[in-house]
Amino acid sequence: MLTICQREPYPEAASGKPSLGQESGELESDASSVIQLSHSLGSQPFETRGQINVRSLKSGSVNIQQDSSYDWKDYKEAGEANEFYHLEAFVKYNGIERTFLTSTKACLLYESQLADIITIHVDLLGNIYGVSVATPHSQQCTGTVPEFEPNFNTTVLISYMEHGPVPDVAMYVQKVEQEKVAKERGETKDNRSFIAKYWMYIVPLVLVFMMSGASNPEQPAR
Amino acid sequence: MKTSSSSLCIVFIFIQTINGLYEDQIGKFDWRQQYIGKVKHAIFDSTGKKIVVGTEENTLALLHAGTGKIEWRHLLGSSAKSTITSLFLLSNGKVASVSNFPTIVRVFDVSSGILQWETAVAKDIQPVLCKWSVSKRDVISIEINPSRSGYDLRLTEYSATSGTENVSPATELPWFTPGTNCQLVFPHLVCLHPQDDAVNIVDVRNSDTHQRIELQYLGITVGAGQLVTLGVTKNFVSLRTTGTFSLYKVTDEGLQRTGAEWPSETVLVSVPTVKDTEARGQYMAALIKREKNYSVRIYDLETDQVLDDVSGDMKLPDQAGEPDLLSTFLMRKPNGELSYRYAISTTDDSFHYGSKKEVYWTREEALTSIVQVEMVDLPVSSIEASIEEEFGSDQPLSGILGHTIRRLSSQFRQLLIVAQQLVAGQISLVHRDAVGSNSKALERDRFGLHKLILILTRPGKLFAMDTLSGRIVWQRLLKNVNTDKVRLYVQRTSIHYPLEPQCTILAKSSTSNQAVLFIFHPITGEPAQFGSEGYVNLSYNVQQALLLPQNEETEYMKPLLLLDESAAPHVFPPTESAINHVVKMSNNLFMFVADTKSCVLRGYSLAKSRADQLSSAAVWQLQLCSSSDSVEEEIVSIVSRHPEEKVFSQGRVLADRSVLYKYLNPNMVVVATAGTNHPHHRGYLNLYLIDVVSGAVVFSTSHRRVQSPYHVVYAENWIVYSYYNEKYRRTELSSLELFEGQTQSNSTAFSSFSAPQPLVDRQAYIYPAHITAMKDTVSEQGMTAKHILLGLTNGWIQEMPRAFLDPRRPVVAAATPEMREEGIMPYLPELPIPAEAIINYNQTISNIKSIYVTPSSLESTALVFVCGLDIFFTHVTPSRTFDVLNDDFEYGFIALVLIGLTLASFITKRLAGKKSLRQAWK
Repeated sequence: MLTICQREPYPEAASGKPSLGQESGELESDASSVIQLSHSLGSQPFETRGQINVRSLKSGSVNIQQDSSYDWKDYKEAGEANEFYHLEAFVKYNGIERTFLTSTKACLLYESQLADIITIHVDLLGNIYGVSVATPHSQQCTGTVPEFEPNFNTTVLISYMEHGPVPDVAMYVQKVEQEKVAKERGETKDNRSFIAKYWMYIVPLVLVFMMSGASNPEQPAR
Repeated sequence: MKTSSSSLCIVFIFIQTINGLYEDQIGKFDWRQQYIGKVKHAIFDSTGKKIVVGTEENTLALLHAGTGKIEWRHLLGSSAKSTITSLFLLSNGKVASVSNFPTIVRVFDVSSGILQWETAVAKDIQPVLCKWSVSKRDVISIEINPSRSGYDLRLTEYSATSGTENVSPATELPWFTPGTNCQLVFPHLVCLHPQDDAVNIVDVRNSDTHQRIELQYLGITVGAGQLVTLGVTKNFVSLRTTGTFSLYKVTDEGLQRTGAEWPSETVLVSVPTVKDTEARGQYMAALIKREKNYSVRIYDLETDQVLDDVSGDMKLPDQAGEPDLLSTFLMRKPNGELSYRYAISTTDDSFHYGSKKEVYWTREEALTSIVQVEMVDLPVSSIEASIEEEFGSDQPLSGILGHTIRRLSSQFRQLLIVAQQLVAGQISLVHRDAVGSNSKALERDRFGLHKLILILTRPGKLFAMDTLSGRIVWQRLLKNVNTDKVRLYVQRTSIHYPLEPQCTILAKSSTSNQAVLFIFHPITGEPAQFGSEGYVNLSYNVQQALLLPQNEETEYMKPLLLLDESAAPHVFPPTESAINHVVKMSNNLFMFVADTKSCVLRGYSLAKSRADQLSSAAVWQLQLCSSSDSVEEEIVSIVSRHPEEKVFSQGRVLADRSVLYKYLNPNMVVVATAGTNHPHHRGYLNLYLIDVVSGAVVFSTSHRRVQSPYHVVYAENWIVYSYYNEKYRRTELSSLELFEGQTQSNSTAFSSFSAPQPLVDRQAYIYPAHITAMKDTVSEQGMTAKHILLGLTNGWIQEMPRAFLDPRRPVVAAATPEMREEGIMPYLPELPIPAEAIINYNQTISNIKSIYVTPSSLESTALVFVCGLDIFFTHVTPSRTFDVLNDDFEYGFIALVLIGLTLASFITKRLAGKKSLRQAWK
C-alpha cells in the first residue's frame, strides 16, 4: 500500500506573469469523496484495484489504498501485444455518482514499473469531471525492463480548474500614469542608441561634410 | 544599429497589418448577393408590378415583379425567435406587418419603404390565441385569454394612419376550448376544434351572434379519425379533409359555400389581386396538383365556373419542392383577355414568379439557411488533361517509338483543343484574364482561385456556386432526408485526374431512424454510381463520422469511417482496399463522441479491428457538466484544428535567440461548456482542452458572469474565444497559447500517451463590438501570418491580425528592444477596429451567421465565404500578396523602359565608337 498526496499546480506561464488564481480555496463547495478503482488489461474483465479516499477536495488531502501483488508477466505480455491498460473509476460525492474510464498503453505502464499518476479533475463548482491515468512522460515503449516488484507506485494529483484571464485595464492605466509622472519629473532613462537619439543632428552634419567633400577635389584640378 | 534595424522590422510588421482595399479593386474578386429568407407572406400590390413579402428571417421586402430584385428590405428586429406572423396591404398604399416575440405592429409606405408608425404590444401573459386582420381603416387584433369563467376575447383596433389604439371591452367566449384553431375573417371569427364536428362563428364586435354550424350541414362528412383543417384567404375560409376541399364565404348568416366542386387535389387557393376595383372578389385562383406538375385554375365566383381559357398548367423548376404559398394577380390585357401572374413559395425555400407561359424568375432563399460549405477544386482544363494522359502511368506502348507516337498524338490533340477554343472565343489574345467574367469555363486556374463552392442548406437543397461570379452552377434537392443533422464530406477532390471527384452527404432518413448517404459528383452535381440514384440507405444510425487520410491503394478516396449507435465502426465505400486501409492504421485510430446535453465524452480505439470485423473499444470517458440541480450546463462548442492545417514553424524565437517550442498536439480539441447558476442567474463558461486519444485534460479554465454568444477558434498552438461579459457589459476576447518550453520532448512523432504538460500563456482583451461569427484564415503551407475574421452585428467583417491577440503582449507602456526583436507589441486592453481592416468595405452583410475559409494554391491568398442573410465572397491576403504582382503592375511601362534601355545602349555604343574613331584620327 502506498499513499502519496499532492496538489498539482499548473506550470507558471512562460512569460513570467503570475498565473491567475490557482488556489483550491476558490472552489465553491467542498466535498469528500470515495473513488473506487477497477482495472483491466486489454479485453480482460475488470478487477478491483483499490480506492482513493478524498477527505477534502478543497485542501486536496487524498490517500489511496490498493491491493499489491500482481503478476508482472501479465503486464509484460500485454505490453508486448500493445494492449491498453484500462482504469475505471466510480466516483461518489455529494450524492452524485459518476463513472469515468481512462486508459494508457500497457507497455508504458510496464516500463515505468507500475509507477502511474492518477489525476482527479475538479471544476470550479467542485464537480469531479474526470479521472485520468498516465505514466511519467519520458517513457518510450522500448521493451527493455528488468524484473521488478509488481506493486503500483501511484501518485494522486488533483487538478483544479483555473480562472480565465480578464482584461488588465487597471494595470495598464497604472503603467501609463507612472510613465507620465516619470516623464514629468524627467526621470525617464532614454535607452535609445546614440544614433537613434541624435540622428537629427548627425544627418545634416554628414550632409554638409559630403557637400564640401564633393566640391573640394575640383579645386586642385584648376 | 541593431535597434534601428529591429525598429525597421517592427515598422514592417505594422505595415503588414494595414490591409485595406483600393477603390479600383472593389468588386474585382469579391461579390455579394442579397437575400430575404423563406417567403411566408406574399401580396401583389394593386398594379401587379410589385410584390410585398414577409419572410421567416423576419424580413419585410418589396420585390420588383419583372426582375425579382429587391426594391427595399427591412430586417424587423434581430431576436432569433421573432418572425412576421401577418402581413396586410392597406387601402392607402401602406403595408402593415405584425411580428411576434415581441409583438410589434409596423406600418410602412409600400413605394418608399419608409416606416409610418410602429407600436409594441406589451403582453403580461402569452394569449391562448392571437389573430390579426385589417378593416378599411384599422389594423385589428383579437386575443383570447383565459378568464375566471372560461375564456374571453379582447378586440383592439389600431388606426391605420396614426396607430392610435382603441381597446374594446372583453367579451366572453363560453364555447371556446384550448386547442381550437381559429381564423379571423373580420368581423367574424371562425373556429374549429380538430375533434369537434361543428364550426363556431362569432362576430368579434358582438359575442351574442355566436352560431354553431354542424359540418354535416356544410356538406362535409367526416369519417372516424379524420381531421378537418381550417384555412383562410381574405374573406374566405376553406375546409379540408383527406378527400375533399371546400371553400366558404363568411357572411353574417354563416358560411356560404362557393364554387360547387373543388377537386380534392387543390393544394392552395388565393384571392387574386385585381387591377380594376369593380371585379375585386369576383375571382378565385387555385393551385391543383397534377401527377407531376401543377395547374392554376381561375374561377369566376359570380357565374360559378372555371375560366378554362385563362387557366393553365404550370411547371416549376426541376429541383423545386412542394408549393406552400400561393399569391396571384389577375389583369385584363388590352384585347380584353384575362391573364394571371403567380408568386409561389415552395418547401425548398425558393420563391417563383411566372405566368401561364413560364416561370419568369426564381429566388433561391435557401441560401439564407446554410448548414455547411465546402470549396472544391475544379477539374484540370482539357489541355492539362491531355498532358496528364500523356504522362499517365498505365500506358500500353513503351520504348522510344511508343513515346514519340504518344507525344506527337498528344500535341496534335492539344493543337486541336486550342483551335477549338479559338473558334469558340474562349481564349482572348488581347486581354489578360478578367476576374468576374461569367463565360469562363469550369476549369482550374493557375493559382487555385477559381473553385466551386458547395453549399448545403437547411431545407436540404444543395448548391454549387462559381467563386468568380457567384453564379449557381447546379442545384439539387435531397429527397426523403431529415436535415436536422446533416454533414457534407469531400471524399476525393478533382486533383487525382483521371479519377472522378466524389462528395458524400450524411443525413438521417426522414422515414426511419437510420442514416442515409447521398453520393454525388461535386462538379456536375450528378449522383454517383451507388445505391439508387446516389442514395445509399444504411441499416444503422450514425453517431460519429470521420474522414480518414487517403492513399494510392484506396484510389485517393478518403474512406468515411462511421460509428453507429452501438459503437460498431463501418467504412464507406465498403471496398476491400478501404477496409484494409482502415485495418492497417487501426492501431492509431481513435474516435470520440460527445453528448452535448449530458456532457458525456467517450473515446474509442479501433485497435482490435480485423478486415472481416471492424470493432471498437471504449478507452476513456469524461463527464464535464455539473449535475447539480441548481445549475444548467451544456456543451456549446467543440472545436478541433483544421484537418489539413500545416504548421510552418515549430517554435518562436525569443529575443535571447533561444526557441520557445510550440505545443502542437494534433489530437487536442477545445470543448466549451456554458451554464447558468440558478440562484443568481449567473452565467459561466468553462473551456477544456482535451486530448481525444488519451482522454487527458490538458488544461481547463473558467470565466464567471459571462453570457452567450460564445465563439471559439483553435489553430496551431493557440485558442481565441469570445464571450459577453455580464458584469462589465462588453464583449471580451481571450487568448490562450500553449508551449512545450525551451526543449522539445519528441520532435519526430507526437504521442498522446507520453505527452508533456504544456505551459499556457493567457491574456484577455476588450472588443468594442458584438461578434456573431469568428474564423481563422488558413493558408496552404502555413507560412502566411494568421488573421482572425470577426463577423459583427453591424454587418462588418473585421480582419484582425493574430499578433494583436498574442497572450505574450506584456503590460509595459512602451516597446522595449527585446519585444521589438521578438515582434510583439505592448499590451493594450482594448482592441482597435480600424476602417481599413473591414474586408467587406461598404457591402454590409446582414445577420452574419458563419464564415468559411479555404486556402488557394497561392500561399498568400485565402478564399473567404461569409453567409448570413446575405452571402459574400472575397479573397484575403494576411501577409499581403507577396507571391503575386500587384493588380496595377505596369507591364507596358516596364517593357517600354527595357526597349528604351536596349536602344540607348546600342545608340551610345555607336556614338562611343564614332567618338573613339574621331579621336584616333586627331
